[in-house]
Amino acid sequence: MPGMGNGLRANNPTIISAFESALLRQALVVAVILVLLAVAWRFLREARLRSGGGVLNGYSDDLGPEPAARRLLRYGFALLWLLDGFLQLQPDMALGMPSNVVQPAASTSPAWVQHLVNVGVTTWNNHPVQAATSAVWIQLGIGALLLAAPRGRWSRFAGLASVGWGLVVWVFGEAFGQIFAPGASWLFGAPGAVLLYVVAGLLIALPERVFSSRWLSRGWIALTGVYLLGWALLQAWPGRGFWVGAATAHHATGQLTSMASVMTTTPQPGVISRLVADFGQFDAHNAFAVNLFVVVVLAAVGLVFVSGYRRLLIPAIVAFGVVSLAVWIFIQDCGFFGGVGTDPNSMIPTVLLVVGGYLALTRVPQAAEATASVPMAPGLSWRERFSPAYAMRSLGALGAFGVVLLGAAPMAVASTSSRADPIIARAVAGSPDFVNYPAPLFRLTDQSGRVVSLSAFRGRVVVLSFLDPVCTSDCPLIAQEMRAADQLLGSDAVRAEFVAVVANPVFHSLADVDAFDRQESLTHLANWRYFTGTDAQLKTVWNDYSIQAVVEPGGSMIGHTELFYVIDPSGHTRYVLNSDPGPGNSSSKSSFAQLLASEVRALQSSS
Amino acid sequence: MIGKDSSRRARFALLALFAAPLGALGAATSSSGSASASENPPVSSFATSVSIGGTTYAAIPMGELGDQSNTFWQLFRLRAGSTHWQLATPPGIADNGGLVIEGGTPSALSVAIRPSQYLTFTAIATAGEHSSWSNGGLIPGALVGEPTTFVGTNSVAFAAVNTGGGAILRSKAGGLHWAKIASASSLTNVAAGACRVSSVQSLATGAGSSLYAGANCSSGDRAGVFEYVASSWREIGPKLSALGDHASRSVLLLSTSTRGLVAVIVTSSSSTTRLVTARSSSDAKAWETSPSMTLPSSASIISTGALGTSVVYVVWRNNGVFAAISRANGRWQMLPKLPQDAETVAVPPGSSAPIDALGGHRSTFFAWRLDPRTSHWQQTETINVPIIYGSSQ
Repeated sequence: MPGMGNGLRANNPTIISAFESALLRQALVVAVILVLLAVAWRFLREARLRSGGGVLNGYSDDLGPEPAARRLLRYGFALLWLLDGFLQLQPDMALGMPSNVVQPAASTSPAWVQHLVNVGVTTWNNHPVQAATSAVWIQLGIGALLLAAPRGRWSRFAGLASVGWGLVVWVFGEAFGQIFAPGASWLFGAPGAVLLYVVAGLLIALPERVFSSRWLSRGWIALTGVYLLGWALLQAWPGRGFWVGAATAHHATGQLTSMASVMTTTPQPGVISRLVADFGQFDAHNAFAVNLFVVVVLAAVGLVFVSGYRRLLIPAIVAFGVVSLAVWIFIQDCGFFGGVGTDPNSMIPTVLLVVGGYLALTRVPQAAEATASVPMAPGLSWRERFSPAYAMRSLGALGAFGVVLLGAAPMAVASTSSRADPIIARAVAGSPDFVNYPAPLFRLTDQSGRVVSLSAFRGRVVVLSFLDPVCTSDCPLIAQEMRAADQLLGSDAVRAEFVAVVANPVFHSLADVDAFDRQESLTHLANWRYFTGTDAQLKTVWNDYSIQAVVEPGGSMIGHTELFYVIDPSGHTRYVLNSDPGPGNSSSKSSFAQLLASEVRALQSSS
Repeated sequence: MIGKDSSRRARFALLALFAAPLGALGAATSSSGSASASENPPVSSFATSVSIGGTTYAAIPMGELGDQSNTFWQLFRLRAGSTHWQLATPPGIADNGGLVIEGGTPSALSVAIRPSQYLTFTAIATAGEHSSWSNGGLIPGALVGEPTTFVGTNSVAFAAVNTGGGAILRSKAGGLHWAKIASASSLTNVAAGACRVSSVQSLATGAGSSLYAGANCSSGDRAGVFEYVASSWREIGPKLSALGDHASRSVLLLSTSTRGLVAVIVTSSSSTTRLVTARSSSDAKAWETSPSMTLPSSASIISTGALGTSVVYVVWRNNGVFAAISRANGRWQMLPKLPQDAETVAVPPGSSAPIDALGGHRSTFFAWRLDPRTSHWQQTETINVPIIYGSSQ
């Protein structure tokens, strides 16, 4: 029936099943990579033993220690990427990511942001399974790459991979961390958690000798201070809704109270929900004090960082860590417990960057050591380059890069096509019924006033549907799908006929049919027929094709059965497919068109 | 050299990150200062009532009024001699876009069902005997726009549409083929400076196949009333300079009576909204305007219509629902404050004094009758309308 709230839900079993199948197949490829690495490891280990080099124990002993700040970022953000990758495994991710994560994030941003984000949403919607699996493997791969490659060019490459994928996620997944939306706040996760991954990636991608330079050691913590001062200023700015809590006659509900209220409505564990709700209640009555506290902490910590006064750094970092933890639990619901969580939000990466800045300032490596410790750097001998330890690390990095490619390559190929995956149509309509019986014949009047019989289309494949010419929702979408399928057929369209029969007992005049054709730009289609007839004629055809057309009361449109019948060139019905267009977006329309075109081609080639 | 470039890039990226909060501040402050100054339309609804052949019809919105896809317009009918309203919504088409009841002097009621969602043309349903409806043609919206008002006689129909600042269409072939007979710019030219037409608000048919059009004038010293006779237009509106320099003048309603035209005019500036009734002589050459009635500037007019041949009414919301009627003497008279859910008022046929207020709350239709003795609205009827929520999504 048209117009009965038929959107495609995130827990659609067809999509989830396809997502899990694809993940399983790709996991087998990852397993093969791991087996190859294990074999290589064993081979190298024995080669090392035979050559008298002892057991492999990593090459940090050979090349000197990695700068502490860099090591913290590398391990910290590697674990974050791995966690994010595992979060992408959630079954609802394939369909839920655009509708539950991306679009809400972009909804309050300016139009140009929404437009840009929509490009990514469309690509994801067109290929939900490829997109969701690619996010899993890219993020797991980057995490593994950061862990597997502690030093050298592979390691710096891992940093760049963090930057590249992080920017993609920041722009298309987080709508620029909502920094262009009104009400952006450090408390809510601005400027976007993944932008902090990007910053960390940039630092990891720097040559290691930079970690021994004065500008990095002092600049890192000082710029972090400027960053926090900026957020303190923004948090304190009057009129942005952070100084007020519950609504009164003079002002609307404050930003933080509203956010807490919204957060409690998202599905999440009861303990977390209660904590957030309780904090929301507290803020509703003490918003001024809460905001004052946040502003003072941000400003004080920021000032300490800017000053670089070492005696205060540890207390400032501890205070910042405690406040960040509180914000993470009470405001950000630990980041990933509410709704379709994709990352632990901004507090953990912020703390990692702050502590990294402290380590960069207080544990500056010796420049000579740092330079000597970089594998594949100019100066390494060929023996060092091809040592079993280095080779093993390189193989590990190569394996992790292979996992990244495993996700990126299918998505890159899929995104070059503007056509949506037919899986979406199958998810909406279910699988077609494969039948084989003579299609009931009819003689009706087409849009140009000619009486035509269905038998006139023998020798061609007929896609038959039943459309209400004054329908406001589904029928226009179904007609657009049929038109798109006709275009997809190209030269094969001459051996196909797209046919609709009016499904409205009140509005079925030729004028109605003509107006519908004009509305849907169908008038120029040579193989398009929209049939109507008298009440009795139409009722006979509806009965023959099991179509119900019910006059609904109370200002509703006609309720009618939505089916595609695909009839082969000999006049036999071969496929019966639910034509409910589902969400009716460009992806679902394109997907239905793909499915129809493929079924028409299958019947054309088999006849 | 490579290291130096990398350092520059890293420094730039860090600076970009630290600038993010300030960028957000800029975005926040600029968005808070960009209040829209767009004007509200003179009438925000198509709720109205008309009497045709002794039967009174009323169109009101019901359902979830904040959500167009769950707002379902309903038509109610009160037959002559009956005291009970009946549901008479045209079937077979979703009417979330609104119902426009035909005005003028038709012999049978026609209703234009405005398009919504993916439907772009307007279907017309015509009432027949025994509560039946038939297909009454259509207005091809993709070409000409959606009707804001709609009148007809036995032989010809006219519609005002909202495309390109407004246009007037005429159909001679049973509502199938429509031709444009005026646009906002052509009427502005006809008015020769007396009225700069920004949209057409109202239509009324006169003797023969003559037509009167009421327009919204964004400048000029006259109310925009135009007469269409023998394929040519002339401006006949009353001069309103006595009302002061108001920014816009909208002829919300035109009605023809035996004594001439009746026009309901709203003049509005940034601070004041005023209602005026103008009544013309039978040849429409002389006008008599009523004393004006000032409405609160925040008032939102939700309904207007004619009760019989000489009484006109306006209903508005402003922390409550209010209505005023103007009788033959021209003076505006406030009615007692209407019930909160009221959308329009109507006069039962055959009765001169009592007035009904009509409205709905979700799926329930209410009729209240004004008791002239107590000046209170008494609820007289409720009808449960079988609205199928979600059916237009």
